[in-house]
Amino acid sequence: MSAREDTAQQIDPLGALKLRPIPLGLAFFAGALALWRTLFLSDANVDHALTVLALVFLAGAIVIVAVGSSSMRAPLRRSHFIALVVLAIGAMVAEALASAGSDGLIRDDWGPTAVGLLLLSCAPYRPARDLVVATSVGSLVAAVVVAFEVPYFETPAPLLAYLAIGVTPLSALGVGAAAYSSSFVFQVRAWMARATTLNDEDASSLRPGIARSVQQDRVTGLNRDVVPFFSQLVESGEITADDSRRAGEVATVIRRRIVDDADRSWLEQAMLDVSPRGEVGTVLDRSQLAVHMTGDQRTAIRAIVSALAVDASTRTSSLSVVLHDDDPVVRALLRIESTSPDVAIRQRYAPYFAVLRILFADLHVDVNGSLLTLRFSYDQH
Amino acid sequence: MLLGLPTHLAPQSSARAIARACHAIATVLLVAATVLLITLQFARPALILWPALIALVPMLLLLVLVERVRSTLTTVAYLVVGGASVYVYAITVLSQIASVDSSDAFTVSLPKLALILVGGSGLSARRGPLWATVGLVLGEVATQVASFQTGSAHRVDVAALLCFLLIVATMGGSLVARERASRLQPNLHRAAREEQVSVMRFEIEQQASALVHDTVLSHLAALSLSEPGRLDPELRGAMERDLQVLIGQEWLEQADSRDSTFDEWETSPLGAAVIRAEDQGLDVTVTGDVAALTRLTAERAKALALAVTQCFANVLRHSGTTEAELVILGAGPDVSIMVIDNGVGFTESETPRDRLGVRNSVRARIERVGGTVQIWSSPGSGTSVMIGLPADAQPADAQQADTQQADRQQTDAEDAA
Repeated sequence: MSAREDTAQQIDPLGALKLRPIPLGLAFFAGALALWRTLFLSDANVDHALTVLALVFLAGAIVIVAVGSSSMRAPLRRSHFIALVVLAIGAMVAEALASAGSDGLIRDDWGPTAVGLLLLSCAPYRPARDLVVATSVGSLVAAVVVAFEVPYFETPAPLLAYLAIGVTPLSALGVGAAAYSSSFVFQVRAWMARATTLNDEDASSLRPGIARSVQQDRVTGLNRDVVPFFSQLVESGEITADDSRRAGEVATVIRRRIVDDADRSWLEQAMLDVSPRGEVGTVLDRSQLAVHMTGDQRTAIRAIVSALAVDASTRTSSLSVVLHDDDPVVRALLRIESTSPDVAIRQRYAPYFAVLRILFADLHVDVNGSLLTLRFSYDQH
Repeated sequence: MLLGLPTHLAPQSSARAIARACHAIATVLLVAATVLLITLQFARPALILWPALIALVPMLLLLVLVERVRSTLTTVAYLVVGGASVYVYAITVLSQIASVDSSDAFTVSLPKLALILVGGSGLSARRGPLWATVGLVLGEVATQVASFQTGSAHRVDVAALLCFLLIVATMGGSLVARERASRLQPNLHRAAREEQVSVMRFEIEQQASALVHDTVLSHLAALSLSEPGRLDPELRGAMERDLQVLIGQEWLEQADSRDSTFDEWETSPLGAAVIRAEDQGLDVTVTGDVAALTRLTAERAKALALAVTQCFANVLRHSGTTEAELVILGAGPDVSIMVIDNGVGFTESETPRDRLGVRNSVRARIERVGGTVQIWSSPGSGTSVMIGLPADAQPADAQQADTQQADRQQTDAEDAA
């Protein structure tokens, strides 16, 4: 599991999932633009093989956007983004080579606009820094391409003028993408900082109540087991052999209760808390591995366990979580029986999977017959 | 921990980010138009391109203003002034540059696109499409009038139209949230809240367990080993205290950090723990920088004393020796305390899980207040327990000096006034 990056997708996974149609629309629009200009505006002398290659490269880049933004495959990682940029720039170069020597009008080139639109479609998925680097590299390549094309353009004009026209679509859209990414991440971070402060203050106000509740729990047990015993001994000032034996027995009971409390993990407690129907799932965690999950990971697991427990189509008692020590990671398996069809389960829990995938990079979802199985791992150090 | 924005804030944040992106794209387009004009002016000095250049200046300035002050007034001002700028720019370019001979030329489109983009980056996502439409209409009217006046070809500007459609689709799309994803966000926030409460409850339960272990359990263990007959007066007194403390007070409330100051070693929580251990028959040698303890907060000093008390109890019960050394080290940002004995030693990993002394009363207690515990021990070679605690930034006496100085300065100021 890697650290979360400064992307809208990774700090607000649900927001990115909700807005997914927009980047997808931008990416498909880039494809449609390329296809339209190729079919209706390109010169008859173009190299058809290179034109097809350019379109194939572009299609590959669009597929990466579609896959990387999906709740089943998110997040769009840097390696995927590099592949996307290489394919998109490859498409731009191939398109330019296809029309080399016969390209009379710079405005008919779809390459820079398509690359720019693809970068814009990645705005929710990559940090501003990556987008700026990709825009710079893309603009440089576009500038070189334009420089080679200038002698063949119908209208004579200075090189710099053609560069301004040729590179602007890519650089403008790329800069826009970086601006979106940095602005959104900044706003979410600022909100989170404020909300965390307020949450902490609010939680602090709960502390005395929780302390009283814990104390009441303990005092109830001690009132029953210890207080009468101690009171009787203090009053009499004498101890008998029976008293000594009883002291040992009471100590054993209290010790066992303390050990049980200390050994119950947050995950077992969460399972107990979310079972309103009295059907409790099982946690198999012999090595106390649940404790190694981060706060965010625990939150996401609590949310899905809670949702599964109240889902009318699932059997809560069949919910099981198994944690297995595979140092340096913990391998986890979460399984539940459901009466819903495969597709319905995938659709209903897609937002949960999107969040889990950000926090557990290797999440694998398997819906087989009546069983929903999630496999994932996390660091234990 | 929080995972993402609440549903009601997401559209607003998204609209702001889209606005920022639009402003950035518009800026690049206007800069490109400026570069283009300057390049052509230098290449062909006979052309009169300066009116177009001047027309771009108010657009750029208002673009900065719209970015800084997002209001209806600045947006309307940008659209009105921008519309006029686009007209001046278009008429200049169409009349001066022979190769630019139609209203849909990319050179003409540059400021027009900037007008649509910034028009579409209004105050809210709902108004955005309206402003974008106004931007498109004003830009198109301006260029069509200019092309009519210059005799250029009238064509539909496909680039401007597509830009408009993308803006409207993007803003519209950001408003249409998918219901099933929206339902999860409150669940996530609820889960985050439960996690926070769970962590707090676990800490308090640990604290309670350590207290029960140090008092009731310890005394029950002593009772179970007592011979029949008269109850040891010291044990009897301890049991009376247990009854008073456990039932009569809020024994899980956090220590107030302001009640920590102490002047004498004997009155410090750790000093009192040493005296109690000596009363119980342990010979404790204290060495090192005792004054360093004043650098600990009350909460940490209290936790330290309770943990060291448990260490002393372990020495007395399990080590087979009645001598222990307490070393206090205060250099650097931490205060370190070592409890050393030359007893029989033990292997911590082989300690049964139901033995709670080291686990709850020492390690968990110290970690809860931000400290660390290291134990070096093996059968036959004694035991050393090292407790490290973060110190306050400055010692209590220095803090007191600072406070006195501040008080003096305030008094001086009041006198001067």
